[in-house]
Amino acid sequence: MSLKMLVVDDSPTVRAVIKRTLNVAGVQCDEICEAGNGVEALQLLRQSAIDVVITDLNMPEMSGAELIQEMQADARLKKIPTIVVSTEGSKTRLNELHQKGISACLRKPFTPEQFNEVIHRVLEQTHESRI
Amino acid sequence: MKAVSDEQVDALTSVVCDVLEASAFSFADPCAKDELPEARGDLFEAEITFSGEKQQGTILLAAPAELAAAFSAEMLALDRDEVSDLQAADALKELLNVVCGQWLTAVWGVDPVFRLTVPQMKALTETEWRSICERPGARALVVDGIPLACALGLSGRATP
Repeated sequence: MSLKMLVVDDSPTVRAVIKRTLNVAGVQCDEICEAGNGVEALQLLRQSAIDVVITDLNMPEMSGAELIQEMQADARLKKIPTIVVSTEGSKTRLNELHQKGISACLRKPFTPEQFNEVIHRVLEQTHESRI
Repeated sequence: MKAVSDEQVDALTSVVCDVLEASAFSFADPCAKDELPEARGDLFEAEITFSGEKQQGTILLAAPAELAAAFSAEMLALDRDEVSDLQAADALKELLNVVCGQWLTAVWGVDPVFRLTVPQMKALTETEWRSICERPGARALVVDGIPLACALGLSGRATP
């Protein structure tokens, strides 16, 4: 299964680290798109068929939480598996995000092994839901 | 400003060391302020503000540009001379972002909710650098012989 992914983070460094980790994890991607905030991400999501979104929370213009809220309000976008990769450690906020429909959370700093485990778990769920 | 406790600053120092090791494969050693190596070249600080019901405040990392470039090179798997100034600044801001999130849960646990601002960078004069290092909430560290300062400032609310 080859996928089109969207990595959303205001830090180009983090986007590059995530892209490299995806490659190391052996995730087969047709394309990895990048966005620096929620506004840019929404534009990309509405223009093209993205399979998985990996997003930070703390970003300028539109945060990751606002992006997730916008995606949930859109019948097509709400079906896209979304992984939050952020520094968030509050149980309250993480529970809110899960209630909004995110697929998984990964806290920074993460190891390649942790990233690998989360991305493959979400991809398996995605694959099963498409069968 | 509210006085910071030694425990809070010790926790910050510990988190900075852990985050640098995990994210930038760099090893930081705490250092007495009067034994800090001389800071050479351009100097920068990254600052982030947090606010929540429990506490409000700021955390900053101050470092010479060469150290920020070294962090960036490690994070991006590049040679140091391949790193741009923008990449170096971005690496320092991202490391601070992670430090802040980890410090908040180290001190306050996982129950409270905090809002973080997007980290901001600014250039420092040598006087400003020395002033940061001398703050009561600051700690000095050394990474590969290059100085690094972290500092915590609190404004109001309770202590844990």
